[in-house]
Amino acid sequence: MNHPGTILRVDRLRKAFGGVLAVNDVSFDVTRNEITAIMGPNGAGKTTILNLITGIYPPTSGKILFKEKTISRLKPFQIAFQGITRTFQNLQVFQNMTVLENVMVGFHTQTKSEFFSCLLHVPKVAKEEKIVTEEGYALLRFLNLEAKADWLSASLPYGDQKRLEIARALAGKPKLILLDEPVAGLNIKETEEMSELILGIKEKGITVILVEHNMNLVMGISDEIVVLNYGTKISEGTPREVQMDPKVIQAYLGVE
Amino acid sequence: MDSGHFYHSNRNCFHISKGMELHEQIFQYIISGLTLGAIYALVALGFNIIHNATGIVNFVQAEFVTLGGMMMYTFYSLFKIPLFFSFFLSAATVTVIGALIERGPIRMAKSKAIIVLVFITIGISSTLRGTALLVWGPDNMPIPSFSGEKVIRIFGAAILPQHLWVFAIMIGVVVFLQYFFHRTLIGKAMRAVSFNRRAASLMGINVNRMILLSFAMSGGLGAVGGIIIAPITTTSYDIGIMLSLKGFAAAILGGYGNSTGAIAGGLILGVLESLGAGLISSKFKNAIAFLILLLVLFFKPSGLLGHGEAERV
Amino acid sequence: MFPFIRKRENLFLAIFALLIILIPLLIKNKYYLIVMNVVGLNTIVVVGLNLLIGFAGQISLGHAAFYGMGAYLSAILTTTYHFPPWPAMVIAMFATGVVAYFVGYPSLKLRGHYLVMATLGFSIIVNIFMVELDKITGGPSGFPGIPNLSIGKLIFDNDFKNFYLIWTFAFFSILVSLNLVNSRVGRALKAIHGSEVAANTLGVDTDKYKTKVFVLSAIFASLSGSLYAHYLTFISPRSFDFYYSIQVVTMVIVGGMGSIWGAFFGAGLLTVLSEILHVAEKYNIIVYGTILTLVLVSLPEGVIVGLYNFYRRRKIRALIEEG
Repeated sequence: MNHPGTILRVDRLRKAFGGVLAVNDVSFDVTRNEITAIMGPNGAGKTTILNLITGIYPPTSGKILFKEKTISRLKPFQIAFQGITRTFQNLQVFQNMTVLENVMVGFHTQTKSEFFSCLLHVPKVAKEEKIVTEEGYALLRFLNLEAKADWLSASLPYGDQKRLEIARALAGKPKLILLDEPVAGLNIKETEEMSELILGIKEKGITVILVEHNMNLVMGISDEIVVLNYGTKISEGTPREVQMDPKVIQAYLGVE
Repeated sequence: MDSGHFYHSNRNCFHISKGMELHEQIFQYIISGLTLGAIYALVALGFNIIHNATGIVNFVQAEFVTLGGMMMYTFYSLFKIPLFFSFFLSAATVTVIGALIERGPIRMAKSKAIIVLVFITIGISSTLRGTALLVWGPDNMPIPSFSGEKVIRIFGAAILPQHLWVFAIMIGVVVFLQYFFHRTLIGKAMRAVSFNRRAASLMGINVNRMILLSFAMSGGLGAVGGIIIAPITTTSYDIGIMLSLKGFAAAILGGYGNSTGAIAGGLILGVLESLGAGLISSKFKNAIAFLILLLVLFFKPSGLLGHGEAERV
Repeated sequence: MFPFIRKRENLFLAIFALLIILIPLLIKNKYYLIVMNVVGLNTIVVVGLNLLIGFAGQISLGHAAFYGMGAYLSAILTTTYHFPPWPAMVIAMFATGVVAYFVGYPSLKLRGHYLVMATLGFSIIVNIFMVELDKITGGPSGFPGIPNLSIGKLIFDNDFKNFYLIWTFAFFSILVSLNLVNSRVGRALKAIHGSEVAANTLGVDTDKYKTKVFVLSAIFASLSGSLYAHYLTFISPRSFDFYYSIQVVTMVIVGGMGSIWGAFFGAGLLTVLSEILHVAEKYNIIVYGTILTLVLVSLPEGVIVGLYNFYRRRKIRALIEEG
């Protein structure tokens, strides 16, 4: 990669679903330790790009490079081991597990015990469990969910579930975290808290890619913005640059 | 548990005799294969209709087939009601049962998760089968052929009039379904539901009613299959199991959800099975269909004509 | 043993172990012992199957095949080829595991009901082989003359001794399952059930895990099948048909998917129920069917888990209303 600060490079990415071209020749770089937002009207291909980065389906053509390594053909679980985790637009919290257990699953890439050792509960497993439990509680504390650690995650209010997903994604000690509409459905206070949380994540040295509709949030905390429309990149730059870009204004015509 | 009946459903009048040449034998196998294949096709169509409307595999399909035959036995053999009315009554009864199943346990189920619904159908299937066992007992029930037993010879192969009935009725059903799904409003509404349920309901289609209808139609289709094959194979409380499992295999072979595939799959499976049993080994006849099923599932789950429906999400 | 159990389960397991030791000493009725032995055999299968269905959220309607493979492989190796029984049992478990791997791996890539059909189809094929390869298996009339298991001079040749044998294995199958579900792997399995996509993005190789738990459940079934063969000394294909597959799945579902003790409860309840109905065997099917249907319609998580969740939600609701 050219720029030493680039942690992720999307290179001429294309994704077609049958006849529909959801992502059309998109290229951009994500700088280490920054918050990069991907914006665009509905259907612009934002979530598709997140899915491509996390390997949920392969690109039709083009490449994705993470820390100089091509990851475009890797399976999702392998990408997690590379250091990339994510949250989901439509919440994929494990409803059948408690809050703490959800986070503990997040530690999967940080632990090693396999079937045989777990069946026999060898001392190594016991030690690992202890560490994972402690770190799980610590993470919940960071996200203000510690009090509800034993709750069935299905009983959490919506805003808490969104934070739980983030906690779970952070457990994997990622270098890059992808947040898909983290404030959708949240009220003003919750949105502010989320905004601070995301800045807190950045402070921990984690690079953030943010897909979001909420203009204020995006303009307020992003270092870099990529704007998509109908699967194509129409603008890129700092919040100020993007705000003034006539192509962006036109794409959002009618939307404030 | 008596599984003796489990494997007998493929009794067919082979009429293979020493004097027959190989090509005559093959033709005979093909005829028997097509006959059973027609039933597999009908069952496969039944599976498809429910799957297209709801996404579930309906294990009660087995009992639709069984009950069709058993009702026919009751009306036609026991009560001596004339053929046409018996046929209609039997099919209608099972159609109603299909509708009741949807209205009852399926609609009332607290969880709509597909896997739960599938298992509910397994439970209902067992319940109905157990009931059939109690009502009719474990023995095979004979049903007289629709128009006699006079063997017709074509190219050296022996064909019973009942074989012709099977083909004729199957063709009739297929034509009817073609017309129904492509020319009537209700049929098109059902197809709409199968393509995109939410869009269909937004267009004013009563999705619940379409689902009810799909269960009812599957019931009717399964029943017809059970009725027309019964004179050839006799019927019993568990005859439907093998027939419907193979019907399902046929549906998958042809491409699950695809009606042309269902017919093609059914006929092909029937013929392959018959040829395999006749030419290779009759002991493993039942295994052939399932072997084909496994091969298709493992190597080309979308089947011959399918759209990749079975692939991982 | 102590490093090998998790602390929380110590009490329950201790009570369970105590019951296992005491029951045959207190209950002398031979018939009850036989029934309990069957419960024990089913428990081993059901606990394993529960890991697949209840935790990983996958289906199998084919476990009769694995149960039967364990039984027939043990029977054939020990009776026809005079293998020592314990190694034969291990060989059977291994062979069953290998077959399960080759069937499971492609099947588990399929969605829900295709998996059901693949396992069902496989199970039917195996059953047909049991019936038709009669030179090796004895065919439909069965395979007699299987030797009892023994340890040195101790031969397990009556119901009393087999109780201890079978329930020791049942105890350990519960133990290791408890260990598994409350560990990294157990959580990964539950995650697959909760949201396969999310599990994948968190680093869980879902294909590998689903296959492994499928193989594990097959091995449990094989073990139980071998014990069955050496206990009854006679086996026939009728015991390993798809009705059995449905029975064990019903036990998992009724007991409560996602609960190890629930699996044991399901096995116990339905085995006993089946025995009670044995008087009128023809009621078996309809009762199983009705129970399965009723439980699934009203308590889809199964009886134990359903009641537990119901109680939990009530408690939390009360907390919220207070707070």
